[in-house]
Amino acid sequence: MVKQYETDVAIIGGGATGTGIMRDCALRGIKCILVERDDLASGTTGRNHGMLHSGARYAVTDPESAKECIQENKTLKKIARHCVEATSGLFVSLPEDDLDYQKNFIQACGQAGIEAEQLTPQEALRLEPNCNPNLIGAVRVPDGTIDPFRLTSANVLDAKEHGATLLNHTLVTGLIREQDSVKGIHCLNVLNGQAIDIYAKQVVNAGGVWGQHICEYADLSIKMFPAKGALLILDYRINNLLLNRCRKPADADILVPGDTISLIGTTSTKVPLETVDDLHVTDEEVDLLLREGTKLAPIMANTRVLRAYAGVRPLVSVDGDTSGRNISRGIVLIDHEEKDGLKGFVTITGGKLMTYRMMAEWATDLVAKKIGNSAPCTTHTQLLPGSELSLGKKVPKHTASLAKPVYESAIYRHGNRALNFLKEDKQSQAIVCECEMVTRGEIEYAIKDLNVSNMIDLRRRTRMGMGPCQGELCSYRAAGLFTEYSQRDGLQVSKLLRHFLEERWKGLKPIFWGDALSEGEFTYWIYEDLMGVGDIPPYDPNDAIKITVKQPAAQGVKNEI
Amino acid sequence: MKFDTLIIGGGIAGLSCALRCQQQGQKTAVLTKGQSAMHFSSGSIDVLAHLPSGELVSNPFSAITQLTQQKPQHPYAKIGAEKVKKSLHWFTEKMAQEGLNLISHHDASDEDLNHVRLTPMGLFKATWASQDTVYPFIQQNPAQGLSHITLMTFEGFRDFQPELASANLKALPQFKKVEVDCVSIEMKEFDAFSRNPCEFRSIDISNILENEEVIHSFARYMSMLVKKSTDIVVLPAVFKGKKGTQHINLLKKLTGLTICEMPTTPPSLLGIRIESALKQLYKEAGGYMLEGDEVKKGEFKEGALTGIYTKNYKDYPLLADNFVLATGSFFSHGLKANKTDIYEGVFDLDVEYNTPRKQWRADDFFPKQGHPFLAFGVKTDENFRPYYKGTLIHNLYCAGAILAHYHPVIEGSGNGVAISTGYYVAGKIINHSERS
Repeated sequence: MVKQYETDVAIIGGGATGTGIMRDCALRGIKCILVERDDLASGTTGRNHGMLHSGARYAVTDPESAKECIQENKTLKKIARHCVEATSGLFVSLPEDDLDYQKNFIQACGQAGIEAEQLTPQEALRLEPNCNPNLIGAVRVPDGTIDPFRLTSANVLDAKEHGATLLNHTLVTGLIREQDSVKGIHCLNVLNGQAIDIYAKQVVNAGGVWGQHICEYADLSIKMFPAKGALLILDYRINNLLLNRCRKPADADILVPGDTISLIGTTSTKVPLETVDDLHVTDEEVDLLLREGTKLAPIMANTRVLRAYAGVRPLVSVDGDTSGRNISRGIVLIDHEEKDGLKGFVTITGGKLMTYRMMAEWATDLVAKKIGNSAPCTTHTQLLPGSELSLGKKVPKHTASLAKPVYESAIYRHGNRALNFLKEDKQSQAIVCECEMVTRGEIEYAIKDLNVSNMIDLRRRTRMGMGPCQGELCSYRAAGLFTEYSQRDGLQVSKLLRHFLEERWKGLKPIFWGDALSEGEFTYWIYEDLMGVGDIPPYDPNDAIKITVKQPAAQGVKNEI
Repeated sequence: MKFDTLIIGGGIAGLSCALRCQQQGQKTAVLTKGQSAMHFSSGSIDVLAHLPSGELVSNPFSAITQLTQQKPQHPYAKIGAEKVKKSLHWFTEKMAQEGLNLISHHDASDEDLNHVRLTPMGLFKATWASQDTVYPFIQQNPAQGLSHITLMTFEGFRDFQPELASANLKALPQFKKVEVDCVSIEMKEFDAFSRNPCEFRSIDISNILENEEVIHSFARYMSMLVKKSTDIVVLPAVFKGKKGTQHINLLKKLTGLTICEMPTTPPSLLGIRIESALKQLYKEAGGYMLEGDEVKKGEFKEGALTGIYTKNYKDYPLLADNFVLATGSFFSHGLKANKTDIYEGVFDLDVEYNTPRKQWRADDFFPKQGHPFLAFGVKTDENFRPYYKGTLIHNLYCAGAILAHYHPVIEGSGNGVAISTGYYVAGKIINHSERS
């Protein structure tokens, strides 16, 4: 049986933009359902620097983007307080950099409304002792960091509390069309093979680089030019302020602190669309990132690399240009009714994590108008769940027995929503992930309340397995909790455990030397020699789909494709 | 300081070698940096579980001949199947002298057979000998003779998850008719752990279980919760050392149940128990332990290692007629890897490995053929003597995981190679010194 839903707006894509639209719709009283083929922030949103741009990076080359950034920077510092660290950032000039660029840079920042304070090298080193001591100049700007996993999750949480529905692990298999109108989407739950039809007045395609496929369902031509960006995660937080090179944006010139680690990135390579689901960081990219990163912070030469990963920027070309020359990094909102004569279908793409809320506002304005909703946007003033307490005020500690690091980590990650799982009973306080101080209570909360279906989702919601040991001990422990708190049986959870360890391995492979190699060997001994996990059949995310295609229930889906 | 034999590394290979040298009258010293790999090993002795072809081994010693045909460079090939067997039986005899009984199965003609041990995932791993507190399941049919198993843990203990184990166990066709219970015990004696939720690992539990009164209370809880019909009760390994073994026996007596231990995530008390027994025997025989020290530099002269300088003894060299390098693999820092090369961590001896870096590991984390880096190691001659910049070092020997050309995890041969190479090089050293 095909499961059916009816709603006002169906949103495709669970990245920052999609979840931002979901929240915006919900706050305006528009009914909506968001479908995501994998998990929240599993695409481009979760695979970048996690940088809260001040706009300074774009001030010289793209003043329009710079203005958008500084506006959203100020907004996110208010509404997403628990996802943001206002660390501030330095734009550093090294001996090989031109100080004339610095002059232009400061001027351009001023024009965009970005506070830019020129510092002497000594002042800069006092603020950031790990910065290259040979610097010849530095400018301080209001850059910061933003956690994309927390941000998307908070958007979803708020949307759900205002009546919206999230269907993650749900793949769009086709558009429901009647003549010149899109009436909804055909979907498939990839975990259980359930076919789902969602009828909606408007369908919003926020699939990012994957959105090209969605448009192809409607024979619309949007050409994505995915640009791969590789990044390295360092073992600990080597800098407290963001470090940028004060020059024209180039490879590997941003070092971002985030939680317990630092990130260096990024490279930029055009890749074919077919490869975006299977990106590998090459040895050459690793070498380049380390070489350039060491110039910003020489300490990096002696710092362990924890893992490597890559994301794709959704660069887009519209109007049938397939050469890539008219590529836009800016926000692209397409009303397909106006452009192609196809009613009920809107695409929002391009842009960046930093401007997700603004993109969501634009897209929601458009669909709201089409369905006759005139409620104003409030996403820039209403605080996200977890950030509700007024600035500077501490979350009250209700439970005296809680260890300080446990309490602080939980508040850091979930804001005041941490009070939902910080409980007196000692069971819920047991630490599962010792690197990141993730408790049993937090895992229970994530599995039950934050749409977690597997251990990788769990990692995105809690940081479990993201610390120096990369899941050495906590993977097994968390798997045990999965049998307890989720609907899955021990056999399924065993597969999820293997799947999780394979996923951790992906990030280790490009940087497999030194400590990463010895830790990797240790983890392998534990899970293969001691536990025998290699005997568990590998998890295949397509298992459910393969089964369903054989069943008559999915026939409609096939025809539509 | 001058020794007959100085062994660098205090894991199972180094200590086995040291014990044999010392018992044969050599003035022996073992220099160790810190915890050995025993601290996270299963505590069973694997000799050979799989052939490189993937074939499951039932008779480990006779399969060594097949193995060495398929892999002529394997450490077992240098020793020979008979001597491997002799060394492992020597090891179990020594352990028995220290009250640690290692049990293996035998066929009708008294040939050694592999058995399987249960893992915390509810899966089975083939091994040759297990401590008598570990249940040796029959390899061909692990369910044989069992109709009811109880998996037990402690409330709040995170390193054994019975529900996960029971699901995999029940999925095995042989266990279709076996009842599997999961029991969790909450003991007031563990309340102290609520002070710091990190402190609830096997070693913390073992400290509390050292108190005999707690064992009596444990037995009462167990009698209340475990069905009398159960054939065996499987507990995570939470009993420390010799006394721990006695306490398991006391628990058996008090409850009338068959209680077994299962190795779980580190620290591994079963592995530590073997290490303690080895150290005890070695010290009783008069051997020296130089603990918490590390080699800074070696002095080579005319194809010989004449002495080593260490962190603790600084400018004062430690001298010996023969040296043994048993420093383990990467996680023990016997081997190291930088971005482009694999190197030996103490003397920079010649190492055998693949290039480029991409070829150090497999694509999957659980590859059928294993990861190449696990078979990297020091290049040695037929007597396990290494080379330094192409020159054979005739008074230095290597043993255990520092050696190349074997896959400890995929073959299931880690402790077998460690013990037999340790034993073998001890023999070479003893013979050599007797001749001279």
